[in-house]
Amino acid sequence: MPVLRRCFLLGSEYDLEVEALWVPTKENALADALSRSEYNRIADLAPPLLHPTCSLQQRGFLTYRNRDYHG
Amino acid sequence: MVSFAGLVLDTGNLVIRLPNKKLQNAPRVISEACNSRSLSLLDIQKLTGYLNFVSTVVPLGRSFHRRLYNIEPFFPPQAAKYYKQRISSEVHKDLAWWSEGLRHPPGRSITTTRGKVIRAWSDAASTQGLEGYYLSQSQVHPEPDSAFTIPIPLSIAKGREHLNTQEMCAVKQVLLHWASKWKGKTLVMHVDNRAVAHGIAN
Repeated sequence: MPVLRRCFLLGSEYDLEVEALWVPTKENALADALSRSEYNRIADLAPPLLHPTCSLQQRGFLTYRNRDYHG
Repeated sequence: MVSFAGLVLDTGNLVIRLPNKKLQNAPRVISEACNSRSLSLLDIQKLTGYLNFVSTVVPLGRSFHRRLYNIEPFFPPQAAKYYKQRISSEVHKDLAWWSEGLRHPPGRSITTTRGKVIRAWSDAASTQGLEGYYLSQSQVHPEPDSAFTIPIPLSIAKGREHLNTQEMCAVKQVLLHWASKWKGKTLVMHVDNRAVAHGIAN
């Protein structure tokens, strides 16, 4: 899977030890709500993310070549 | 700078690195193997020995010489020195990984901050978007600048990528956005996809 290779490459480049933990979808509620842009759920789970100064969609899709080094 | 066991210990930045000589050898050793369609047992042993050593400073690298080791049992016990085995496209992909990974001089942190754990979550909704957020050690809610949600790009949507690949793309986006901030730390990715969790963990 090229995407996995790329993830490991990024981990190596930044000297990260990457571990993974499987969580049931129920416990991944905020991530699930964010990926579906369900703002009511986001408001319940993490109110700071709906603050007017927070633009969740400000960060665009990055590629390995065009990544934003300033994070 | 202190040399120990063939590695350079950078005591100022608390990082272990490869000595310049070994680092300069890397492109040649790897590109020679990359350009070959077949390798002798000795070639493979030299290469695995070298990559095994380099893996001291590239911890995730160990996954990418496993396939080279897997070729060794296919050599007949009494094979002549010049006997070669064809190397698969998967091995070529691994070698390409090394080639790209060693473009930047690798260094492994030996500071106590390694203990600092970043917890990140990611998810993909097949037709809607990719998402990621992270929490530092004491945080309960993500900060406004530590979360993103991005629409699935057309390239992925049109290609009808498998959900596992999309979930992995979400992990990749997390790394592309923030990995530079987390240098030398431990990242625990929380995902609700078993294939992705298994892929990263193994």
